[in-house]
Amino acid sequence: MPPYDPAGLESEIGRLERSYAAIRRESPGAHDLACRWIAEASGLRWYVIVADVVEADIDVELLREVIVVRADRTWPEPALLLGILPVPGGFDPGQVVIRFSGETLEVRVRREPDRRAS
Amino acid sequence: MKDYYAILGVERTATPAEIKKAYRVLALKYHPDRNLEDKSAEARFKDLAGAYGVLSDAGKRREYDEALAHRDAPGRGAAGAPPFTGDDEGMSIEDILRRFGGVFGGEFGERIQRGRGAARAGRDAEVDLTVDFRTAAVGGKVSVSLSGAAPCAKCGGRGAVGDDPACAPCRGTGRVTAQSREDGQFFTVTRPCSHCNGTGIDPALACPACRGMGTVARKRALKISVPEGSEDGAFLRLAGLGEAGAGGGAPGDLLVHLRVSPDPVFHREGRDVHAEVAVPMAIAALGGKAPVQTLHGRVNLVIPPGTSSGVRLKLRDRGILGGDHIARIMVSVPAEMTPRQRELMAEWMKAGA
Repeated sequence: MPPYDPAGLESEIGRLERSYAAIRRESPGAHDLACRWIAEASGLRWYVIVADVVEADIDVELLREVIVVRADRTWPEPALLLGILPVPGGFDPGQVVIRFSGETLEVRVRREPDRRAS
Repeated sequence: MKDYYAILGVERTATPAEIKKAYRVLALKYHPDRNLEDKSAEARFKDLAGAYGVLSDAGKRREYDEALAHRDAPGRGAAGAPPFTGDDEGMSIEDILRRFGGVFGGEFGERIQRGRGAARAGRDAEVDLTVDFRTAAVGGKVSVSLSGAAPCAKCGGRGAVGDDPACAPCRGTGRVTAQSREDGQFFTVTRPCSHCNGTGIDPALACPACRGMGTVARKRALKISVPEGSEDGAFLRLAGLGEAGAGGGAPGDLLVHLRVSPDPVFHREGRDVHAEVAVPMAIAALGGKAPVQTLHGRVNLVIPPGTSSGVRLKLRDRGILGGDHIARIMVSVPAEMTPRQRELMAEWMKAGA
């Protein structure tokens, strides 16, 4: 069974976003990246819009409860772009697949095996 | 002489940032690792590196611009232009990657994350707090108990015992960064160091009480000041009262999610407080004073003659944050009357009530 119903997942993601706001405060001038998620049977999929950035300037940091996306934009003006992607319990932030295509970074986080739907 | 501006696809007035961006985009597209079978891509990559080598250096760019202007001046041909000698023709791919590799986000392969130390800001703690209407309205202190990361008492939050406890594989940063090269992707991925589990502390020298984290889970009690006029559903952010940071990082904030329980007497509309007040029938008819309980104490409300139920009377500045107290009059009729009261009432009716 999935560990959360959609409303519960949304609430848990919101809680983790608030809980890890300190990461955002560490970079006071950073611009927020637009991040969206969808839940699937196999895991959680995040989409992050990273415009005007080349992929070499993207750093994805995997932490226990969140994945932090940092991107250095040099044009039109230099800026640090920051996205915090919560990973609720039941998903494994060590098991991720990351793709960058166009201006979208896709981060797929797998469910932990013992929570996977039978 | 090659037109480096055309090679990079930028105007001659391009800023250094525009030149750098154009170079990155094109260099990634024609990077030899992405075009293993395409030899023309390697040639293009070398051209791009040559152009970037000149245009990214202010001195070389000035010299190049002068040579370009001389070449393009009316009446002069390329043959008359002074030779430009500042380019890096003949560099190998290895030379180029060594020289400009930083533009791609650092050296390729696994590397140590240098930008950030092992210090981590503490998480923001969150607590739901229900307070009564009157405390929320006029402010007050409320005790809460919460659990979360607090500095380890044994190591003082350092996470280690002994000198020079830095984890060797990650050099004390707690993180290891690697360039992702799967499917031709070039972003970097940073993971906690597997040797020290992200603490940055050599496991052999880690504090046994906190296992190198510098923090332990602990319950604590706090007194929280609820500000005057707090509303139901409000968030209070109390800086530095969240969970302790790891590795000497700053503590997080405490987020208090405020719930205000309803009051049997008062309810608020904005800054105004509304309450019903029972007024004896005779005072309502003849006028007088009735005691009224407000958030700021008891006052006597002047009731004008002929006041009916439902009339609202305002007590200025007796509400929340300078709002008013609105008293809704409810005329109370006695459930029981003495024979004399009944007689007078009958007489009053006869008189044409």
